[in-house]
Amino acid sequence: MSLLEVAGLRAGYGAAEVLHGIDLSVAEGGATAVLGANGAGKTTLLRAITGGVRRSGRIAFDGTDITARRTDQIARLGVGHVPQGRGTLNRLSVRDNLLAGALLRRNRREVKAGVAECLQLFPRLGERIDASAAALSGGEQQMLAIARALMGRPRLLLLDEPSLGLAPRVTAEVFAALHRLRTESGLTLLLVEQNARIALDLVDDAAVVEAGRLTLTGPAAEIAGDDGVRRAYLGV
Amino acid sequence: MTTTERASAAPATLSARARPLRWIAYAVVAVVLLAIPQFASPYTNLQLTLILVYGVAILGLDVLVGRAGQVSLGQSAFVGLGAYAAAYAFGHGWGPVAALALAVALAGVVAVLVAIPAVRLRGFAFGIITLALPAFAVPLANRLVDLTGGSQGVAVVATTAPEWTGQADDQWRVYLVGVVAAVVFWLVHNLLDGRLGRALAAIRVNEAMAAANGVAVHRNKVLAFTVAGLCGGVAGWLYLIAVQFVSPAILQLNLAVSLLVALVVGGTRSLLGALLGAAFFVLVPNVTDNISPGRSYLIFGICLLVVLFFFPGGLAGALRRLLTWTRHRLVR
Amino acid sequence: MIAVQQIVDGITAGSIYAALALALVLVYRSTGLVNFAQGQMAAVSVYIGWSLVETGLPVWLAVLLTLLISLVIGALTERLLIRRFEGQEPLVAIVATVAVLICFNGLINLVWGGSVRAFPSLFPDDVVSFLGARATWGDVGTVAVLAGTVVILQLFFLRTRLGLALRTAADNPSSARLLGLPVGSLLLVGWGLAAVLGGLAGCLVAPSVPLQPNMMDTILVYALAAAVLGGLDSPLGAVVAAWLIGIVETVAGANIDVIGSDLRIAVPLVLLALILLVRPQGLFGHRDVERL
Repeated sequence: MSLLEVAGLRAGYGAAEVLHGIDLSVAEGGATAVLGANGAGKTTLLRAITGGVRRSGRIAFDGTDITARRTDQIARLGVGHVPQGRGTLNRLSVRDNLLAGALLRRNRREVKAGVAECLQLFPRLGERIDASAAALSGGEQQMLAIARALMGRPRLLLLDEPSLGLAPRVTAEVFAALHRLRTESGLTLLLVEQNARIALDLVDDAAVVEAGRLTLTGPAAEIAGDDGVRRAYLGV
Repeated sequence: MTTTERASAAPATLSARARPLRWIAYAVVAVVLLAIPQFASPYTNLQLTLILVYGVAILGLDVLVGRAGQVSLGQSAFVGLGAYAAAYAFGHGWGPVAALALAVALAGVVAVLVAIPAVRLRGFAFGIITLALPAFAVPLANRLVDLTGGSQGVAVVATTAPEWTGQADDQWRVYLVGVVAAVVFWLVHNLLDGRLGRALAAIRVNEAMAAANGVAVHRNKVLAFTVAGLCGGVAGWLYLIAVQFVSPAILQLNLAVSLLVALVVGGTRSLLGALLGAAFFVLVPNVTDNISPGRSYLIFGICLLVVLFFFPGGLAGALRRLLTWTRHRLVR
Repeated sequence: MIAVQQIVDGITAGSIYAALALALVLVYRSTGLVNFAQGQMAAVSVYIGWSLVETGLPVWLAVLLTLLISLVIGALTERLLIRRFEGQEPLVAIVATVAVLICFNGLINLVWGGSVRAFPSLFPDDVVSFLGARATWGDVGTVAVLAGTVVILQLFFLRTRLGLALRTAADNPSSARLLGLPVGSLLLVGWGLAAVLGGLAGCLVAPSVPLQPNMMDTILVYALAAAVLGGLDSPLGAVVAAWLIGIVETVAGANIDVIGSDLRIAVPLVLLALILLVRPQGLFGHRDVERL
């Protein structure tokens, strides 16, 4: 069964509708990338799933209908969301950011182990563990945001443009960590990205969003081979 | 404050039949307003005059708070300064125009002097600093007894109705204050219609971005503060004309806060809002007092909360929505 | 001549301002608005405390109950009256707090009337001498309670999970939601705690001032100045600033003849203005980074 099922999703801001009926599903343990140009609605899609925008249609997580649920309720069900712009807690330290991600978990020892795991995944954070999150570089903040989301032990992780504003080398570091995550923990990923090349390399399936509608879906390899995609998003 | 208006396509245009109707409506309203003082009691006329007085003060405050986005708790000091200046002038035999000039000049100078260092501060820091204005003004007024009459205040006869008008004093005052207020409103409206208005709007939304786009942020904020002060000064002169008396009470923080509240209740960034806010401020406490003197303050607070809850765009915003709704009806 | 006595008096006064300033900072950090009703809410707490004492309870118990009731009042105020305004522009939220101020003032007048009352002290009346200065046990107690409160607050916010949750919700509410935190409930708790701090300020000052509906008005102005001087989102800054304001106000009031009782309120504002001129973000504040 799919871990995430989206059917006929419409969503928007105020009176404007941005998504005009999206159908999407992600299998447990799988990874899907959502590609598209700016303004196509990719971020709105993720926000709609976690309840950040007005939405209608049907969204189900592990069989549970979450279409009308509040953001924090959805998060507690096991959906992690790394928002665009990272959303780090800038007045808190790196350590506090990580601990904040695990606030709903009771077992202290497990939480400590979780912190250690995150630092293994992102060694850079270990070097800056006591620094204020505001003092981190863009790449480090992205790592922190991902690590913080992981601290909640989500079953599904939504990532909104992790490569945004990052230098190629740092982007590669972040995606290397995401590769490790997939192989080591079987985490289900839904990734929104403008950098199609690096995204398609990570995921099993992909979908292309244009002007609020899905225009193409399929296995990553197929999407990568599609002429239209190659021209528009892979610069070929 | 943005009015949440129902998103619709282009605003409904009036049919050719309805457009002259609008002008007729305006004319009727104008005639009614001009006629009221003829039939109303002196007390009612005083209320009307006070609404106009505070309307001017709130209009000035709106330029700084509503348009430029800088919360100020000092407007009462300018109103009081204007009133005291006018009292001094009238008390020493100056004519009304000279008194007005003195009130405006003093208020303007103080505003500029305070604004230049103050506008370097952001947000709440600026607001708390403006508290200093009433904080200094009240003790000063109490102490400079020779100039201000101390805590007793000063009573003057500022104007009386000229013979040829055939009006009673209270009626004359409504019209005089009304004319001056109308002029001030017109001046401020024109001022805001141009570059200053656009600069202030940019500053309100995002100062850093405004600066990046070439807006002279400090200069415009000083300008906004000065306009607020000038309007306050005029309002003070008008106040003296209306009430014929001034005391340190007018300088207090209480009034400054009330003006701010009235601004939001009436609706920011709206000329009509300034008047509606003034009306609320002048009339509602009387009403609540009549309902129940012991609970007056509590009821007033509840009324405030109700307005804030249900009319986020202020009374002006609510009125505008009502008019849009009726206009849709007319178009049909 | 700055006497030790003046400094002692200044720290005592400053401790009262500090308690209310802490409440203001707590609310500002969690909801991003300045609660102009904080002083009036504290006044309500004091009156409730007075009523409890009138029923015969020992003072310390009455104060404890008052603090608990304050917690509830603060939480209810946030949930019922303020929540509506939290997303809106700061101006409207401020005016909403003023409306709440007016309501609470009216409430006090309605329930207890405007006549003046007296509130008993938590501490014995005797005077203590040290370092050439004299202070009542009340003064010493006030400073001690304030210092203890600061320590407890620091421990609470930095070492407990609820404290971390409150800091998270205050720093970035939307991120907090994505982490599964019930931000609304946390804001409720924040306001409740702030009300407790305000109530504490009120109960500490109540024995030495006449109980009337406007009793906290001047203290609110001092507390606002202290909060802003400290940097508005720094609890430590608020306390240090409050003590500084207390000392400067007392010393200036005693030594500079021009400053009578009516101009004392201007002293902290002038101090604030001077310091902000040099350091606009306050003593401990962060430079505001406005994103383009």
